[in-house]
Amino acid sequence: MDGDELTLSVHGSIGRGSFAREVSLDVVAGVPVGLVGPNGSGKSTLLHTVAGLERMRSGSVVLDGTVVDDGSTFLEPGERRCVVMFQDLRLFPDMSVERNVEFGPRCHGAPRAEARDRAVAALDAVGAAHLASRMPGTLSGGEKQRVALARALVTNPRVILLDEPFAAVDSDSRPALRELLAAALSAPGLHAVVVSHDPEDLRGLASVTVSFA
Amino acid sequence: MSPSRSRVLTWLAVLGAVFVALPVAGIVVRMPWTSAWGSVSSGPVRAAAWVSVQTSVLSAIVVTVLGVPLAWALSRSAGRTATLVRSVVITPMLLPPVVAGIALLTVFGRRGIIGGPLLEWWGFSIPFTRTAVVLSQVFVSLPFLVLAVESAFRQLDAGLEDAARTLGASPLRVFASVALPGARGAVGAGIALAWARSLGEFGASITFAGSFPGRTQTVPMSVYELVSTDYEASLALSFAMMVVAVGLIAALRDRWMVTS
Amino acid sequence: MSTAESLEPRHITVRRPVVDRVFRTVISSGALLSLVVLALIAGFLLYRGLEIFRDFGFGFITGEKWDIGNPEDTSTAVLGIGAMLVGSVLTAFIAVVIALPFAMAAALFIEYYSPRRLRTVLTSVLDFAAAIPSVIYGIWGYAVLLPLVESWSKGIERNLDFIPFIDVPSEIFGRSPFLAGLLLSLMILPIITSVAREVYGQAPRDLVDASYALGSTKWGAIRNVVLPFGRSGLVGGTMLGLGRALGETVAVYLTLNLVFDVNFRILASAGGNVASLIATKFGEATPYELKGLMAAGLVLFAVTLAVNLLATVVVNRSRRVA
Repeated sequence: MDGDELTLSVHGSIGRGSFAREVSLDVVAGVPVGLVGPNGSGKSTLLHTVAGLERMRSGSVVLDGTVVDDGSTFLEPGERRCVVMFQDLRLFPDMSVERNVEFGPRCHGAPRAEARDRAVAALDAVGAAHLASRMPGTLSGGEKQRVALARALVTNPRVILLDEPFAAVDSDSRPALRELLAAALSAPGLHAVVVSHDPEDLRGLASVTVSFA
Repeated sequence: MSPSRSRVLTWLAVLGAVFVALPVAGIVVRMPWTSAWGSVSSGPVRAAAWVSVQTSVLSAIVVTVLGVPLAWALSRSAGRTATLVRSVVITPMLLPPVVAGIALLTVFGRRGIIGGPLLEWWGFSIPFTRTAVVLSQVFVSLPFLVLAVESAFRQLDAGLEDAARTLGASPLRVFASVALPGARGAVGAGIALAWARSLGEFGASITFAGSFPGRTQTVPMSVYELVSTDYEASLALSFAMMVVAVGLIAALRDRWMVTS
Repeated sequence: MSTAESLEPRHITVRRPVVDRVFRTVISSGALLSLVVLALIAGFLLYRGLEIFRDFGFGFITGEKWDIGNPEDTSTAVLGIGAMLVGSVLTAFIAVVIALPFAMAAALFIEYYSPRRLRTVLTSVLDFAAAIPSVIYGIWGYAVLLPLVESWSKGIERNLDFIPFIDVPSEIFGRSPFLAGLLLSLMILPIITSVAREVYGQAPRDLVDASYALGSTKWGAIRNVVLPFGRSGLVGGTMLGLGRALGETVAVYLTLNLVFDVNFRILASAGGNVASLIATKFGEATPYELKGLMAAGLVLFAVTLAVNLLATVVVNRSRRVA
């Protein structure tokens, strides 16, 4: 039963219109899953559905034995502890790096001082402590990626979804980032899904690779 | 297009713009500059100005508090309900203001569906009070703000708001921390527009609130009455009001447009 | 977790913080409130004006006289808004006829010809104009436009008095439907222009460019692509302007002589419109006259709403085509 308890499972139909499709996916905690498929194959729809930005058309999303979406129950994104590293990162442009990372803990009710401490620690963990006071617009692709990772991990998520994590990163910065991500995704109790159009991207990150076509 | 035709179009367009700006120039030319200050600073006019300032500021606040969140919610929702709500919200814009005033009177009047119980249970009567002036102004200017601000929210990247939601942000926090900062320029412009509308509101207030000097008489009503009794004062007052309205728009718009 | 029930996924209930619930309520109840208020408007106007419609029937719409007679005896009152209705329609029509060509030219110019700097200036001027209070237009019409129009009117009438609606036997010009219409045209120019800009701006650029590439002149491309494309949108924008002109109060009051006779002579100093009738009479109305004004309000409401609905339908259709 413990195996079932620590599983993220998505079974049913997702998406609307031309993005509609059937999925059946189980992600065990600590075993990152890679999804490979061409653009337009519905990978983003799947991520949105798991994160709660879209609803299942039918079927259910169950996380660690708790229904988060089955047509009648629907947990809002913020109530799922499921974070996304979007392909375009989506750092808040009006906030400093530190404010960006503080955002999650603040949302979950942490007092300002605690949120700041956690943000500093998270930035330090991804090697981005020196960027704390910068604005997102002034960062390079690799730096942004680190900040986005810090912002996601600082909330102690149960699920992390990465959409094309290397898309905006130049080839020189990729090995370091890959190492960082690999370490982050293996955190105990964390369910991780990495999506890419290129199987090469998933090397060293995903223990299981699923083709999504 | 031949050069001559393009020139015709250019001149027509420029003429159109000049045409629109004429009231400003015309009033400046006709202004009785020497006696203007005396007219504008007379007691009744000062009272009207004070009523206008109070009511328009209050209604701008009400419109902002109600309208900006509504505009955001509309911009982020699709489907039949949103369409219905949107069409209802803009309806005051399509109503002739005097009809809007009568409508407000029938709803909030002594025998109105809301006004009746209000009077009976709390002894509280809205028509022909300053509250009525504010209500008229809110009713008339809210749609302008909602429309202007909604289209600005619509152009914002909804992805940022999604990111905030996955990080645990409540709707209120998404609105206040992500959406609002992104649209602050347009929100400023929308508030300025609604404020200017409130300042110039006439038809709805005169039927719903009446024109009682010192109580409900605003600057436009004062101008309307002064035309037949003290023409120079009405000109001076119009000029003052125009300066304030245009100045308001120019100041708020430019300041917020540049920084956003 | 070894019991059988853990096989069944748990359902949990979520309690959202109070602020959130308040926020949601504000959003949804604001909309609901407007809906309720709007439904009440039509109902109450009808309810309040019903007696008037019963007493005067269709004569309320066609009658020219507005006379409360003996305030003590409602049976001596004669209430009709025919003259005012004609005034509303006449002035609004004149306004649209004058404003439309300027609005089209301004919109085309801004979208397709204007240098960037001039475009910013022009759009700001139009935005400002939309924020100028009606009473200022009214005063300007009264102070500046009236003497001009009076002298133009004399010349026009002297030379063209064989045309029925231009002839003015009384030789009294001034606060005429033409003056009010001209003033209204200024007031509705910004709204028509901005709708026209929106639809012209949506014209498929690739078609415009293609037309260009085929050797057409810019004007040719506009005539063959942009104008047909924007036609229904322009009609919709014009109707919105028409609606605004129909409902204008203070500007018409200041520039049109309130006379209770149907007047089609556009240069003669006589007329009025429903909205300014309501505004002028409302303050000192007897209870019976008040009902008459409510009925007049209902008629104006119905006419404006019809025009606006038509406009919405036309504009929406043009959007769908786009």
